[in-house]
Amino acid sequence: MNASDIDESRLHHLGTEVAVSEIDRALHRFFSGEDSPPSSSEDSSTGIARASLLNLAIYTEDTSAVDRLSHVVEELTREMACRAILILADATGTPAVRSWVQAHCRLSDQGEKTVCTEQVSFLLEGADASLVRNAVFAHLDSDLPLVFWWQGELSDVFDERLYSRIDRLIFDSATWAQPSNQFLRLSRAFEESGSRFAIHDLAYTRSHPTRTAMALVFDDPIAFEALDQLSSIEIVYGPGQRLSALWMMAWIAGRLGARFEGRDANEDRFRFLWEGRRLSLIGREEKDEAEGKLEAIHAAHLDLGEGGAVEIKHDAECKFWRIRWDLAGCSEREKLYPGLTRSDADLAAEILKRAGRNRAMVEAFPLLRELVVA
Amino acid sequence: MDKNPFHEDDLDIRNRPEPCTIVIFGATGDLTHRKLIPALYNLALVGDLPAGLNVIGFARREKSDAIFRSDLEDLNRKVSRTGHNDDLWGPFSQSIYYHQSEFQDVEGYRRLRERLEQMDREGGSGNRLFYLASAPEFFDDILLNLREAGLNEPRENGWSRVVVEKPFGVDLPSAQHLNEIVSETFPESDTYRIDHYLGKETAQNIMVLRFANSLFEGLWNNRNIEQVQITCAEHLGMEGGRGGYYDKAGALRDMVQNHLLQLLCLIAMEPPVDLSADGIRDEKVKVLKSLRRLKGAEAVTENVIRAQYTAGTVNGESVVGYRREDRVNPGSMTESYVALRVMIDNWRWAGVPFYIRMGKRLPKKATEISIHFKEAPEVLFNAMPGVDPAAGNVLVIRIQPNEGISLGIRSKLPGTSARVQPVKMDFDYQTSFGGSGPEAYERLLLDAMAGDATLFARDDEVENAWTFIDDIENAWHKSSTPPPMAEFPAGSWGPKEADDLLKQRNHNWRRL
Repeated sequence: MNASDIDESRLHHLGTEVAVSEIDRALHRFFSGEDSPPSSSEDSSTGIARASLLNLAIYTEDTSAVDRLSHVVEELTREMACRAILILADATGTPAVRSWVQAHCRLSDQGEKTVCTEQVSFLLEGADASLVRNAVFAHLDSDLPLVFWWQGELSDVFDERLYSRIDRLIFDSATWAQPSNQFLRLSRAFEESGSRFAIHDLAYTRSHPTRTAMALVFDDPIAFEALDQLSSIEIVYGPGQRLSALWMMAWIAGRLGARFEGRDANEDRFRFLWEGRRLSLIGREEKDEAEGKLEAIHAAHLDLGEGGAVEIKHDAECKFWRIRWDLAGCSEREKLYPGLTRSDADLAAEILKRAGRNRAMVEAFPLLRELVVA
Repeated sequence: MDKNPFHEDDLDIRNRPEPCTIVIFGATGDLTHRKLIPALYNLALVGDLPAGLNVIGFARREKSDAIFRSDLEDLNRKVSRTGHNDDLWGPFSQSIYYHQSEFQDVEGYRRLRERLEQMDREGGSGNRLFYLASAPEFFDDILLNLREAGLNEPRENGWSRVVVEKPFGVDLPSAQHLNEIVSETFPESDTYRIDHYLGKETAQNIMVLRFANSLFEGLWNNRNIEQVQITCAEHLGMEGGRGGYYDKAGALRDMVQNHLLQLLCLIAMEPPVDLSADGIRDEKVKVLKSLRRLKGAEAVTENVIRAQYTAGTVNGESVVGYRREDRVNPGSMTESYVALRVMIDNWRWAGVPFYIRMGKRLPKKATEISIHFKEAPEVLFNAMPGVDPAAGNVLVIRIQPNEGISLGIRSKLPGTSARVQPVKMDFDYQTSFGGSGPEAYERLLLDAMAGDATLFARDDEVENAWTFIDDIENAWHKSSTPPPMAEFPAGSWGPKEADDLLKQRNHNWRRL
């Protein structure tokens, strides 16, 4: 792709184009009343309050994603007040740096005032595509943490001088063509930085409802008594979501303290040894019933041997997870758990709200890497 | 394995609610229908309820499980803050049951015990949470009969707790009596006295503001703080038949004894040794014990103003005076408004007045705490003509509505002159964090299920608060020279006498 391949009409989503040297001045005008923000919202109320909890940088080397990412920023800033820095990098074409500013505004519930957070966007072309650090670090809101959302494969731009300065890295392993190589790269960066930054894989976050449901299953006293009879769990996932299923398996095995023994040939059946017993974790892909309406993980079937069985299943129609206990010695029961299918922006918002070091994922990470290469 | 391995402790630092059966006494009442069940429903909606949770409504009226569920559903549709989802309500309501009995009938409690044991045999957890949401005159009977039926005794590997709704007594002797009955039935560690103000997000944030930031704590004392104001203003009067209850209670008992003294404690307490329930409550009790008591009518007259509203206009509508409200005694001597100057006689706060005001039919609804720092010396900029020494230097904690914190400082006006103006830096919860937090009852129910009593009042907290309040009530109602009852027009900010209370020390009520 060269510079002329970028669809100029799409760039209007980024707001008002300004010279890089004018960015700070243009942002200041939004909130000083000299200039009304070029807002993504149709509301035109006056009385603007600026709010910011963090810096969010979103980086992509796919310039055709501009519409989608603009929409993501707009959604995210509804939930999370931040300074957003969107970087589109295209290493082909003539070296050039272009920039845009805009504000995302919303009304408080009382409708009393409009709250705006700002977005700065960059298009880095040709040799200037390597100026990511300059673009990010020159425009941070001071003293606030930096969250870096990396879109797609980790490239050479992901170097020490970048990752050593970020606080939180978000990525999506489900979009990686070769997850094993990418995880290796990430693992090295994580170690080199002294585990300084927190890592968040959206593929892992997508398994959150199923993980929570797993915990709920064994809050039930009878199910908990039968836990030591657990012999297998089948995890059913949607097309392209195998990484979420593998994360789920790594997490389950990690929580139980099970040791990975191997994978059955030609099957997504992973064998573990747990307190002297065999445990099988099985992945099975199934088609989405309605495109875009199902969770990454559709269901989990737990075999508790003589203790009975439990099913966790996403109900796309009513937007809940259904947990069904069919346990020995008591009648079948059901509980609903919230399960609104979430966009990537929702997942990122969830990560940002929860904060923390994401310990459970980091603990499952080494085992996930074993499962990925098995 | 001795505990569920699938809970991710790093995701949530609060204690985890445990499966249990909640028995609500007064199940056909307003509190159950408008607050408790919608709170449980909203917890189910976000997946916070533990598996294996059952609810039994205990009340006098004849009712089947199905009719009880249907009644609850009707009101949940109207009042649930998140709306009503039929798909969720179906399975949620299947865990709700009705148990008919008189509160005084011990046989009803024995039948309840059999029912609970049957539920345990069918997979119940054995944990029990008894929620006293009935009229307070039944608390004694309920507690005694729970004990008589052996329901207060925890089952093996389980627990048995009681939640007591306000009012916790109407004076010190009645509170002591109730504490005695409760403590004969449940240990203090299993007793949860609800003060729903403590479940509010901003009230919880007071401690975070104070003890997670080094910025304020160094200034938090009588060397730097001139005065503190706690205001709870309501624009409503005695709508919906509230006059009957309110005319017996009054503003002091209804709001100050519990909610506003709790807020005062959070502002004035020393840093606790840890964040355990007793660590925090120990410090709150020390504050209550340090309150300067107002003994005798003279001390009360000097430091407390009571008042009633007369006819006036609120939000553009004409309203009647307090004594003409529905179910209010036309000769009532119950205060609809109270303003107090409270002194805390300890090292940190000696000499700093804490002003508390609470009133019905004020111009707007707002609960706020303002910390007024001492003025900077009247030299340099503060010596310039036109500088208002009282403006700025105020930290405001908004409890409701628009929860947040604002800080007033003085700043130079842009331009060639050196004019100084107060400006306000504002932190608004919703602006910064988006969305809305859980309703107070949601948080408190979860805490009771989790065994976390931090946001509940302990017996000695309640009794010490009543000790302070009773001095005032006695001066009003038992003295031969009772302090007068002031008046103010509905829709105004209270009587002139309340303004004068502050003027004695050259202070003014903050304009809300």
